[in-house]
Amino acid sequence: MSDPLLKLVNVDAFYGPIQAIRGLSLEVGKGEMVALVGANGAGKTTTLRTISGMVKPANGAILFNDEDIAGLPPQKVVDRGVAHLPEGRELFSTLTVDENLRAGYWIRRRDRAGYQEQLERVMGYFPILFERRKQAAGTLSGGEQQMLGVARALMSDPTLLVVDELSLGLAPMIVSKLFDILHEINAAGTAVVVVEQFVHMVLANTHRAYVLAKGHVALEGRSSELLANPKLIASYLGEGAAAPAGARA
Amino acid sequence: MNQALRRPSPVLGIATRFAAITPRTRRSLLVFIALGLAVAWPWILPIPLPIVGDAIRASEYGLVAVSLVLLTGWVGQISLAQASFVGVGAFMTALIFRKFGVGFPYSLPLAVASSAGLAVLLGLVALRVRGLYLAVATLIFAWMADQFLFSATWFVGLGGSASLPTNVIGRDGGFPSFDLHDPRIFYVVALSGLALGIYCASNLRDSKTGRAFFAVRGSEIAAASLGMDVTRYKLLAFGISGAVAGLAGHLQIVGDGSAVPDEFNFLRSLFFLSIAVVGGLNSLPGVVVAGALFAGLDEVFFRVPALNGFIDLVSGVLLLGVLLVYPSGIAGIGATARRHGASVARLFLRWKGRPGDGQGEAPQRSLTAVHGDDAGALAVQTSLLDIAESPAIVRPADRMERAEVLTAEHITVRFGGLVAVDDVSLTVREGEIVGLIGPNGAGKTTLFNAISGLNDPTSGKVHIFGQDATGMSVHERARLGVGRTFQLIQLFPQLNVFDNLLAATHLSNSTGFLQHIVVTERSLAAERACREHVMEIIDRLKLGDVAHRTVSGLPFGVLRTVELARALVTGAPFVMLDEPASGLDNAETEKLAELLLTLRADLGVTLLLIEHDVAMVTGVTDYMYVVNRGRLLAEGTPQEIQRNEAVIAAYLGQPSVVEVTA
Repeated sequence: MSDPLLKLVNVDAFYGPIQAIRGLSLEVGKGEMVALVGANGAGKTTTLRTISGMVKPANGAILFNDEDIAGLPPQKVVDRGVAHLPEGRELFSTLTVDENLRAGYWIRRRDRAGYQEQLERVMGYFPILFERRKQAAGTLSGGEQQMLGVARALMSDPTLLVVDELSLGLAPMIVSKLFDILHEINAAGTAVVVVEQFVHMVLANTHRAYVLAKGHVALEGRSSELLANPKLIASYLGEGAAAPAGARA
Repeated sequence: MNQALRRPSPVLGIATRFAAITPRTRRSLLVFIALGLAVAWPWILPIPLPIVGDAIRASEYGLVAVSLVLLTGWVGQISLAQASFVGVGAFMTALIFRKFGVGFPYSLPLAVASSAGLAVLLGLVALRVRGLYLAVATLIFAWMADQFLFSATWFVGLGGSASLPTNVIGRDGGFPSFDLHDPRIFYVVALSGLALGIYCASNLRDSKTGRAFFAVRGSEIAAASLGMDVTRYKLLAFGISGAVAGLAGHLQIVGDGSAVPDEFNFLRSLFFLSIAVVGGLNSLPGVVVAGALFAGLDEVFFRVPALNGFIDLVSGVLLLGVLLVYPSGIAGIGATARRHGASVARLFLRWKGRPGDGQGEAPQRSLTAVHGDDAGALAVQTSLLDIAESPAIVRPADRMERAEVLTAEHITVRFGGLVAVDDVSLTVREGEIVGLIGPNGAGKTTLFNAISGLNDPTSGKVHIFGQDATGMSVHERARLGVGRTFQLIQLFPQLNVFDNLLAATHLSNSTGFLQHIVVTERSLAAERACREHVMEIIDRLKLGDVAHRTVSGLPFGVLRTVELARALVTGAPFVMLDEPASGLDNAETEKLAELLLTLRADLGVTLLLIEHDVAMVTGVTDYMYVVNRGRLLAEGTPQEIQRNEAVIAAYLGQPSVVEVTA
């Protein structure tokens, strides 16, 4: 792994009265693409929300570029270089594509000269959004909305992009197209963390992965190796679970 | 009779308690003395008569505020029409006198009943709307009452005001004779009205009915799952509240001799609501103090000309101040003081080497006292604890021989074009623990709701203990013997743990609200038996340490256990658990799994779990159903399920399978 860009050390965080994360530790290297998977309620979303400052951790440190950002409000975390695309996208659906992207630029709003350049860079990944730039975000198709979500997040020029449920409500073909774009973004130097239900797809598209269970890391490793690990199935279906002989793992 | 049982009425039955001077009898004695002073002061102290008039007004304000505590504080139904109920009570009193020549106190029942009837009418509206919309609906109701009823000459009387001659009760000059012209006499009448209102309300609060009120406010779904008919309790609350407000109106016109409609418009309702809020919407003593405070302010503003015209400003500032500093009103101030007082008292008692007489310990003491009492002669079933034979672990081979507890046949649920559950059938048999699992969005919760009655299936049948439950409401299914817990904890925040569990005895306690108002022997005995039953469950689930804590602030794992305990207290032989392990850590999850197995073994209870934590489900269940994308994907023993290729693919999102089922 390259130098750690993000490091969570023994983080506890609550979702309402429920402790969703229990002593969670993980690392994301510079320029790395990391998957977070796990059964529902494992704490994936809370982990992302804790990283981006929307949930304040009760304990533990969150080191980003060696600075402890635990407890910083979300807008300051964005300023440090973390962009979060929340579950369900949360677009401003009555605003146009352009306006959504402008909103994504908010943290750099004083750099008026840089806006056009950043917009062109981001639009370069999503030519379809350029065609739709005057359209209200709510009128886009599901796939286009997710693209706009990613594009909006990129407008702040993050060094770390965290994406919650990339595939939510999307057809497998669209999801694989979105992964292609994430690869391009990643290749340009942005580290990416993806939370995903489709385990096979996300493991095929990332460098490393963490399997969460009950708010802590149950399993971690290179994505390509995890797929073959029988413990992966056990972490979903319990001890003793195994693919039947002859089945494709 | 045992002495230690916390009885709602401290005043009655004092004679039996004089035998031993316990702290409790001392308290009763104090209340008695305080009441005596409250009645006698106008004769003892040299005070001007207008002050007595203020005391009368204070009693009436207090009474209306009590009616709001009942309705808004306890049941959560906001009312901006309370003055209309007061007005109906007043004008009906005058109308009865005009038509039939019947005056105080004989016109009281009809006047009070009219207010109650009108309030129930408004209650019918409340069944449809909630929160802000209810507030607006009651406001419109108040406006209509003001515009149409209170401006009708047949109702109010000619000239737009109603009058009532002040009368003398009994033979004039004979004995007994009460001349209501004397404000001191009428003060005693008004005070008695207030005392009656508080007495009835506090009896209700500590009864089955009161717990149902708090339950309806806390969570209508959970209340229904305990067998409470939410509709009935809302209407009942409106009726009782209207009756109490009507009593206030009746007393007001009898005391004043006349009434005009302006005294009962919606601004007046806001004024009454202010009294209740300043006093503390949940507290009877609080609102009585607030009633006195507002009556006192009336007098001050009347007496001090410089303040003339500032009454709205000052009471507005007062209201805001109370809301900001003490969100729970005057009662909040009292609670703080009581806490300090209690700790001082505890220190004092420890110093004297005696156990404290904290309210918290009352139920335990009552239970030790209750043994040997005639608790058996009650209509209380403790069905659950009676079936103590432990069934052997179910093996699939003998599965078919067991009686069917639940059968869901071909359940389909459509929301518009979306088919959330598509032709799913499942069976739960006596003594089994059955798991229902599936990935996110599989339709588990929708299926669960169709079984428990929260939504109706588009097609398909649900049988519970052999009875067709399709189309039954949640509380009707509860009567068939189904208990449940909730994914998001649905405990009643206004009740402590013990009372939350006590609320679950609703179905086994067959006494009605009239018995609760006057506290009959039968209702007391039923209450005792219910408390005893709750204590058994508390012991079994080891909740004794938290029994008298409020629900808020308890650890999440404990809250889950309390919810499970509540489902068990109902005595339901079949309990549905909605994600019982979610939010628990590994150790807590293991403990829960053990607990479920113990409960099945000891109580013979049949369980159906929906759960995301598949590892936990495979550990405790005898049989599992897996749904995915609304369809039944697989069923079988946990071992079969764990090795089922389609199940594994569904959980890991294998693309090929996604395409097949999509």
